[in-house]
Amino acid sequence: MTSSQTLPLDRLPHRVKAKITEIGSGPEKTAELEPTLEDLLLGLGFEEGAEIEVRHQGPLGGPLAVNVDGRLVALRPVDAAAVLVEMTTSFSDPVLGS
Amino acid sequence: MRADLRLALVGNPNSGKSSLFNALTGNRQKVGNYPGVTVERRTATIEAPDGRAISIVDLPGTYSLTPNSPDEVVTHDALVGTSDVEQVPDAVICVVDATSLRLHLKFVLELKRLGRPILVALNMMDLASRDKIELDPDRLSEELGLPVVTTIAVRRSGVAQLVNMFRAADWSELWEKFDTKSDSNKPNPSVRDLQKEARRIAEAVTISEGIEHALTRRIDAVVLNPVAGPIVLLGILFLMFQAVFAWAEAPMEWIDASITTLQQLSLRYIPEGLFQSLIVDGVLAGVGSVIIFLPQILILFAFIIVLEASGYMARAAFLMDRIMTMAGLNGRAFIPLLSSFACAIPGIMAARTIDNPRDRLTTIMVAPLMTCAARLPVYTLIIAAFIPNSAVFGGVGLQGLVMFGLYMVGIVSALVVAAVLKKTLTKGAPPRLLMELPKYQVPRLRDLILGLLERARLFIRRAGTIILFSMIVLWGLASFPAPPPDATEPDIFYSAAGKIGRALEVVFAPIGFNWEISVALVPGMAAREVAVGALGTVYSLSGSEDAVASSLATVLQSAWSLPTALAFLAWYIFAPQCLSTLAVARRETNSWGWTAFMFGYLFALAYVAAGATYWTAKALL
Repeated sequence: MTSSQTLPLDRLPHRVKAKITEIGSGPEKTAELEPTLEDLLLGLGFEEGAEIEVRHQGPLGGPLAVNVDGRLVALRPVDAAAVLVEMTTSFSDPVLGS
Repeated sequence: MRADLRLALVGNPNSGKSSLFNALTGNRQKVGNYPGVTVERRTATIEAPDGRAISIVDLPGTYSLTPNSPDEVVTHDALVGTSDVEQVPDAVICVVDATSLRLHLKFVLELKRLGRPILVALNMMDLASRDKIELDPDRLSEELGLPVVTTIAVRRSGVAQLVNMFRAADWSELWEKFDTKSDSNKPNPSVRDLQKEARRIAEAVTISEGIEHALTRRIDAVVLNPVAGPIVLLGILFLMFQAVFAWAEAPMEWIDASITTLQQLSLRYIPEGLFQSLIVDGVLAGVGSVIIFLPQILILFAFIIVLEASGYMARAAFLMDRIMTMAGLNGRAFIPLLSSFACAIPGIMAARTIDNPRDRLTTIMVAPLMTCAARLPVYTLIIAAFIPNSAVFGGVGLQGLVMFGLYMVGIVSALVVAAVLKKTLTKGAPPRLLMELPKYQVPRLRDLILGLLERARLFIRRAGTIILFSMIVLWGLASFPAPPPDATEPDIFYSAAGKIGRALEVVFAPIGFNWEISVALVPGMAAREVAVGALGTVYSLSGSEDAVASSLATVLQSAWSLPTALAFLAWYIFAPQCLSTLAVARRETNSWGWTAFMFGYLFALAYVAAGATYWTAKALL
């Protein structure tokens, strides 16, 4: 069982600080020179324990701009789902009412 | 020249590696290509204070030594020593971004496994202090067991200190102090182990963590906003194309005036005859009508260089990702496609950053639809001749608006063609987008000037070689055989070029092109802008002395109908007319089939578009 605060990055509300708990490997490689999603995420500074916050989303449901330990990285929601995060402060959004 | 010391510059992308290379080497750089793959290879040889020759190669930026992309393969092979091109470097200078120490340290630790001497250039110290980050470089050197130099590459600070280390005496003393052989024998650690170690070192050497760059955050609040962001992007693109027109006007007039003066001088001092004609009609009219576009090309490149260096380009890719995805492309394709506005060749080459082979192919196929700078001469000439220079919608120039429209048609067709390709020939899973959005920086004038000088040099070299050669050949074809004594038509009508043009006219007459245009399209195959030079030569040779003196635009006004002019513009949105682009496409796709496909579909689109424009305009006007 994961704690109720653990959720995939694409579901993390914007402007809420969280910590990365796990980086999944994502889908299988499709081409020889193509790195796995995990390789790419690790290369850009995603790692267990890193502080993370969703800052922006591109127009029309576009990619997310995520701050990982001070570095701003763009990735699509579908890939962000491979990153599991835990909110560092308990969260209740007055707008969403959750 | 034999190098006494061979150095390789490595680092993560966005570490300021290129700025450091510029600072170290100035304008002594040689830009070439790695054979087989088209990764750019930058090298330079500089002199240490004691006169030793130091060769430096700027290896492509990578995040790790795992060879995941052609760029990374080049860097990996050069460092490991399996490269056919690079000799194993005596030492590596690893550029590290002081504002992002932990991530960059992971790469340094990975490099250390190679057991080569590594000099760490702790770069962007100015940005670090701006963000209130305080680091201890001595502690870093101690922790890594490597020499560390702090630099601010963009201000050339720390560069002299770095160069001083290259003196023979200092160099050997340096590596007595640091032993770099030991690490290579240990077993290879996992990525996560490296990250853990990098994190430990970063924490140990960080005196103060700093605050996030507030300005970047504030700019992003607007620029990455889903509503304001696209408006800003569109505004920047619009400003860019207005600027290309407005700012270039004065320098273009100076160049035009100088060429006219040269022509008049040649008419006066060179005895009348074939040689005079070659100089005045062939060389000056032809090459001159191409050189005149240098200011516009430089303004366009200035925008692209500034957008890239400021950190905005990655944001543009971020904003465009959703739209690009709808067309079946990757947000990353935005950068190659935007570079294609300058020239399809760097654009096609930049497509290498797209890791998915199908996406890369799609991007390469549509890159020539983006309006390259070589089409500017054509557009400018026709617009200046046929579109009134009036203002619409409160001060926006009509000419600039038409230019903007031509660019938009190119962009929209690229998206449509890409979407069709992705549904048919390059079908596959949707591509991935993962990239860093770097902190904003004020671009440095020095880097801008070096970039522009390189572009100017390339352009002028093209004008002096391929374009000059085409012009002379065309002049020959247009001047011989001489007309019969009872000629009723202009001389060129009877020449070889005239005959070729009239033969081609059969193909092009249905879309409103006359035989003069048909002639110009042939040398236009060498490079698009040559078509303008060719028109200059054709009309100069077919007219009187007056025609030489008056500008080509004026000549065209009386020679072409408006529908023909518009059809010519429409043709050039799609025209598959640049051999160098086809050559690069062949090399990058490694397939004659795809190259032929590119040529074929562009020709078909150009023909249909020009025809449709011609007949629609004819019916309406």
